[in-house]
Order: sequence, then structure tokens, then C-alpha cells
Amino acid sequence: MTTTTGRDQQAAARAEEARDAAWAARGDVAAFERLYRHHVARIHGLARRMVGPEESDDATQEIFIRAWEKLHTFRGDSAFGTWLHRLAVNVLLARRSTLATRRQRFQEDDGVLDGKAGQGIAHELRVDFETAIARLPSGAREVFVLHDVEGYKHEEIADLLGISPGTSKSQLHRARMALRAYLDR
Amino acid sequence: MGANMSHQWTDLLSAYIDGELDEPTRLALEAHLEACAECRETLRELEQVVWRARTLQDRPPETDLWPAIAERIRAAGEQRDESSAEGMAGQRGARRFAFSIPQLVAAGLALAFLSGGAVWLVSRAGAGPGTEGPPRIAAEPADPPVSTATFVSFDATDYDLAVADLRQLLAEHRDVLDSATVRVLEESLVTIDRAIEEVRAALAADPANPYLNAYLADHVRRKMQLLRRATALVSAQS
Repeated sequence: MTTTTGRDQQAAARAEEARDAAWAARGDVAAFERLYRHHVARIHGLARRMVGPEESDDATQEIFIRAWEKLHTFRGDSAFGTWLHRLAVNVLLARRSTLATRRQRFQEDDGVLDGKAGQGIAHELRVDFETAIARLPSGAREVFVLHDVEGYKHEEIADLLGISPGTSKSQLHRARMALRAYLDR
Repeated sequence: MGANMSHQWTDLLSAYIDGELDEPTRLALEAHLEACAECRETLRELEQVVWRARTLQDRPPETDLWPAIAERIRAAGEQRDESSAEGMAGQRGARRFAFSIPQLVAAGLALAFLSGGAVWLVSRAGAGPGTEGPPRIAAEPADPPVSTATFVSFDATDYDLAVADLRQLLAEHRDVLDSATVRVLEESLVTIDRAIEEVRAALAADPANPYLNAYLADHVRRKMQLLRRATALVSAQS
């Protein structure tokens, strides 16, 4: 249950972040570093799950640099964290290949996920749940992370990925089915 | 039950978990689940997958990425400054000041400077021989933060009142101040007058920006309150 004090603290923290964002938008690097320190764990987690651990550091850097460049577009209508998260998703998706290639990948991945690759990674005993997410085929991984980890709706995911909501649902189901083998890790 | 028939039901389990099945399909699936242990086990596992996904813990990167980010930010800034110097002499960096309100910063600095001058003035005017320590008004608690979600209009009247207060303060205590103090305060007044004009012009160009208005109003309110306290304190001691 959220107490009045808790809400006050949240409001104060949000106002403080908005001030830091304002200072950062005017070139204050120290203010931007405070924002970075506060949000880097969540952004890096998102990047790690979306693009894999190998690219996650580079992707995280790119996200924060893009945020620095785009700070003037943050008008305080939402929490800074919400704004940053949306920007991060867009940056991560932009790192993917073109829309046409992405659609092709969704089709190609169907067989991979249902067949040998899905079975193959299931036999790697050292793979934990997070690593298993990163090893999902890209289409299924993006849908799973956005829906089950980040809480996006299928319609939103469909818009972001340029697919139909039905494809988003089927990819989600296949990702969940593949991840059952890693529940205890 | 055949494998194909079971697979058909299994395909519905995620939609069932997410509450996306229509009523007839949901009822049919629930009837099947009562009779099929394999599908019940699959459902249990899928629910666990969803739960695990929702409870994943974030952790910062193993290496601190900030130094590299800061370096790239500074390098981009230097590159922009060079471009600006070459092609846009006399103009400020376009992106950092995309609001076209660098005057806001100038106003804030001018107000802070002005407030500092007021504190100094109070300190000198109120301090008797041997009196030391910071001015009392500096110990006043800070105002509560202003929510950025609330539109706070920019009240230019506050500026006018503050400047008038300080002018009055200066006139009444000119004889007890040294010439350097008077000069600093008069220069501050000129600076703030100029800043006010620029801020008013800038906000006229972007008057509906609630974020900037709230930020500026919060900052201004604190400074105005400080000035008023300074004025009241000096008046009480005169």
C-alpha cells in the first residue's frame, strides 16, 4: 500500500529529476550524470534482454547519448524515467535491421524456435533464465521482453515492431514455451 | 487424447493467462484442463515463466559506462562549438538552447546574485561590532518543491516588486554602506533589469511551456522570498 508519505517522496523525487533534466538540457553534465546513475540499471537490463549481453554496454551508451541529445524534447508531461524508457526502446529497435528484414526474421525464426535451436539451448545446463531470454530468436525475444518484462500491450508492440498483434501474440506464446526449460536456473 | 488435439489446446494457454480468450473458448479450455494433466502442467509452467519475467532484477553494468558517455558528450559539444564558431558567429549552441531561452539561465544567475547581494546587505546593516556568523535569513527552510506537472505561470510582477524592494533598500541604507557595496548592488539591478526583459521576450515566444514555467517559477519564488525577508529584516532594524 502506498502511504501519503510515500507518494510525497515519489512526487519530490520526480520533481528533483525534472530539475536535473532541465539543468542537463541546458548543458549541465553533472545533472545528467545523476540521471544516468539513477536509471542505468533499468536501461542496461532492458538493453541486455533486448539485444543480448554482448551488445548491451554499447547499446546503453548509445541510449544515454541519444537522451542527452534529445533532452530538449522532454517537457515534463511524464516522468523522466518513462520518457527515457520509451527512447531506449526506440534506440534498441533502431539497432535492429530494416522493417522488411525484421518481417523476414519473424518468419525464419518460427522454425528455429520450434525446432532444433529451441531444443538445443534447453540442453545447455549452465544457461540461466536471463541468458535464455537473450538466446531467443530476435523476434520472439523482443516481443517477450516488451510484453512480459516491460508490460507493453500487443497493440503497442505491433506498432513498434511493424507486425500484427496476432503475430505478437504467437511469438509471445512460443517464447514462453521455449523458456519453460529454464525456470529453475 | 492425440498429440495434435493437445497442441491445439496448448496454443491457447498464453492467451488464457493474459485473459484474452472469449467466453466460450475460455470455458471450453477450462473443461479440457480438468481432464488433461499434461495441459495443466504446461499452464503451470507458463504461469511461472510470466512470473519470472515480471520479477527479473535489474542490475547496473559490470563496468561503469559513464566515463565513456561523458567523453562522447563533451566531444560532441566541442565539435558543435567549433561548428558554431565557424558558421554561426555570435550565436549560442543551437541544441542546448533549443528553447531559445538562454536568458532563463541569465535570469536565474542574476537573481541569485541579487539575492546574495541582499544577504550581504542585511548582514552588514544588521551586524553590530563583533557580530559574526551567517545571516539569519540563510537558515530559513527551503520551500517545498513545485511539481513540474502543475502549470505555474511566470509572474513578472514578482520581479518588479523584488527590484523595487531592493531599490528602496538601497536608497534607505546608502549612507551605511560602503561605496563598493552600493556599486555591486546597482550593477546587479542593471543586470537583472536586462535579464527580465530578455526572459519576458523569450517566454512570449514559448509561453505555454509548462515545464520551463514551473522550473523558472520555482526558482524565482525562492529568490523572491529571500529578497522579501531581507527587506523586512533591514526595515525592522532601521
